[in-house]
Amino acid sequence: MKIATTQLWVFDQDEALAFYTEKLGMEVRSDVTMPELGDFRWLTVSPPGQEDIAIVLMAIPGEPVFDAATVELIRDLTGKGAAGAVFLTTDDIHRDYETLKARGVEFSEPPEERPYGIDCGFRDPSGNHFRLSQLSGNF
Amino acid sequence: MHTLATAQLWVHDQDEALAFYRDKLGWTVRADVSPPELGGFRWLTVSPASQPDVAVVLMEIPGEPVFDAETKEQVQTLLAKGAVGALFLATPDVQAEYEALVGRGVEISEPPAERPWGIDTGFRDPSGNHIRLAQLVDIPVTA
Repeated sequence: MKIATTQLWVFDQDEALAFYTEKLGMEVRSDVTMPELGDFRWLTVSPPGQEDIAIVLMAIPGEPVFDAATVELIRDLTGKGAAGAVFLTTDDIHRDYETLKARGVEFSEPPEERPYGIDCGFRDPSGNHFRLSQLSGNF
Repeated sequence: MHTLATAQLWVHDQDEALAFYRDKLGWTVRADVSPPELGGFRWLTVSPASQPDVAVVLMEIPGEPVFDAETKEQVQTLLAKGAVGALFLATPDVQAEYEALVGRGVEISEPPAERPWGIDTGFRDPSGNHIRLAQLVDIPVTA
């Protein structure tokens, strides 16, 4: 078996799609709407060159999947950056930081030296937490 | 440009999660480090043997100063409901994987069933994270 897809909750799939493709430069791996599943939309993206792994940008479902209280909790936690996280790596963090910043990605933390390398952080429009790192050592 | 290196799942107990992913799913430990500078933080990652370049970090839910008590409790609540983390696995032979997992004691809540996207099965990890394992049909980009 292999990991094919990891999940992030998003508030708005079109807004997420624009962010991941236009600002992060990721590619759409699938965008399928299934009428037999109540127009459920499976929307996945991943960096160029990584065709075998993707992030599904998942709309938060209401009834019958989640009751209203659960939906509210997911929205609250996602907005706080406490629901989902993805770790990206690069071989040149300063170059990527400048590129992403120029495309309008707002960084909560600029590149900084850490025990594991050089690291910066940003959020997607829904609040999901991203770390971009140039790693050293065992990480 | 950047590479997707690690996906995150919250877990209630890292040792319990490690036992599940390593011993029941048969995954490989990619990193298990606790830098003293990071005050007991443990970076524990696992992935299938064939995927050395991608991993899942089994992340303990932090307390203060990262999360306040309310946030921590919210994460725990959602985690237990299976509503916070999800992972989608693919295999060329879902029936064989299903039998292997059942043989190792994984409780599969949804046995293999035909779906529009392939043959699909679902289970939870010990923390409640939702895992789907599917033998996929080719899904084209349609939009």
